[in-house]
Amino acid sequence: MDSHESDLVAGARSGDEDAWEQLYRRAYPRLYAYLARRLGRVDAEDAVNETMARAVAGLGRYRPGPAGFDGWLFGIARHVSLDHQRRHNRRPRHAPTLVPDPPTGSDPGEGLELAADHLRVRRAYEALSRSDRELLDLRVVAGLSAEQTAAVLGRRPGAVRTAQSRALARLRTLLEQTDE
Amino acid sequence: MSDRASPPMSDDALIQLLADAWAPPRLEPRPASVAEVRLAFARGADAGAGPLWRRLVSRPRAGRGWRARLALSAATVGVVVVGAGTAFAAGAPVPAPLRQFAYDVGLPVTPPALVEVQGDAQTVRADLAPGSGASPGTTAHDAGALARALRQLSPAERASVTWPEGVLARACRLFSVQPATASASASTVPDASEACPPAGASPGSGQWGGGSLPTHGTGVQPGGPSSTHGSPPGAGQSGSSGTGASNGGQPGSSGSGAGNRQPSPGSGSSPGSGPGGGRPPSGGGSGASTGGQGSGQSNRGGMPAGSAGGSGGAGTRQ
Repeated sequence: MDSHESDLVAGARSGDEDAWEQLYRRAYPRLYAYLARRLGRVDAEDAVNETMARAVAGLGRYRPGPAGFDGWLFGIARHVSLDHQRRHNRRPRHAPTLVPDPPTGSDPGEGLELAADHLRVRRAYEALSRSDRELLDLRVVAGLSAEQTAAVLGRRPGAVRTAQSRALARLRTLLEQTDE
Repeated sequence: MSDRASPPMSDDALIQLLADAWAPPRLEPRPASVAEVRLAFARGADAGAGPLWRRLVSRPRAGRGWRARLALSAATVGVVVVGAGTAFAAGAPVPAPLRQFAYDVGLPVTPPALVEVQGDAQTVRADLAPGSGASPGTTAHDAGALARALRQLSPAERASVTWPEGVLARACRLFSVQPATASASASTVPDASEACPPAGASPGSGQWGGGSLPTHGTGVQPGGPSSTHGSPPGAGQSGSSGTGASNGGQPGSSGSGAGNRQPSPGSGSSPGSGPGGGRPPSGGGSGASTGGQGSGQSNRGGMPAGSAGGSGGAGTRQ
């Protein structure tokens, strides 16, 4: 956790709304991406705000640690997504229900090609095991470090790195199969 | 794509490809979301009251709470019903609160007021039993409680049970047939006047619950309001037989009963002219016939024959 984030957290804990808003804006893109991948875009924004609301309620219990504020916040987000899935009695949503907007660019042909590539990657990603997806969701989509991911999942950082390497290898294999 | 996903692709390149594939199209929160988050922050620990929390969390929880309350209510009713039923089947007394609840919800249990009357009557009967050792004060106190409980009964409930009235009548007779006791009841036993009407009480004054309480020729009970008719005031007194005591609901007839040493059949009939306060004839006051025929017939309705007869005898005994 950088010093600026530490200052923001300290300000929020003392009741500074602006500090809290800055923390929210900083975390929003990654929170949204993480929750959109797990729940779909329809529910993602609400889930982000629910995460922030739970974080407000638990801010007094937050203790800075190796995972930092992001690790703590994504731990909440993970529980929010699990609660949401449990409430709706469904498995996490994946690529088929989550088609991103077509990439924009100067060359329309290149944009379409990128969109097709992304769709193939998402399909391969969906073929991964649930544990592989959960780990990569945090490491790749949320952009957490191995230490932060380890804190969220309750594992050791070394185990996270190993699992990540294996998950990427499996994804690579799946992409090869789709290429063939 | 094939060149990017080819085997030589490093982990970092693959991670970047994944990040691009899952990148959200919009990276800035909407102003409305920012406002909601600020509102939730302002509410602090009560962030659950915020609109988002309510939409995502509170609504399902409210549903569960509703179901939980319903289940709890159903369980409570079930416990009450089963408990009351078990107690009823086992012949055990149902606790008063449980009985009251069961009665209120319409279960077929004895009305609580009636149970109270029966309990009080048992107490008075025990006081009156030979060798009970109960003092006149105690008996008067218990009789007062019984009289109060009787006044709480509805007409239908009172019609369904009559023996407590007989017990009360016996208690009152205890004070009326013994001059010393009777005087004591008026002066030194505070509850005696409540259980048995004072000499000056007017018929139907309510002291006896609308005149439906016993009037077994003891001379202490006024007749019911309706018992007055056909029976002019003072009829009982003039009738000397007074035994009837109850005559026409004339208060103070107890005194007349005590003093009536001249049987006067004619007079006895006068009190009997009353319809008996609306109560069915019960043969009460049979003893009164010795002093004045018919006196007993007049006044009582629904009283146990035994108690009525005894009381009548008391009034007429010379």
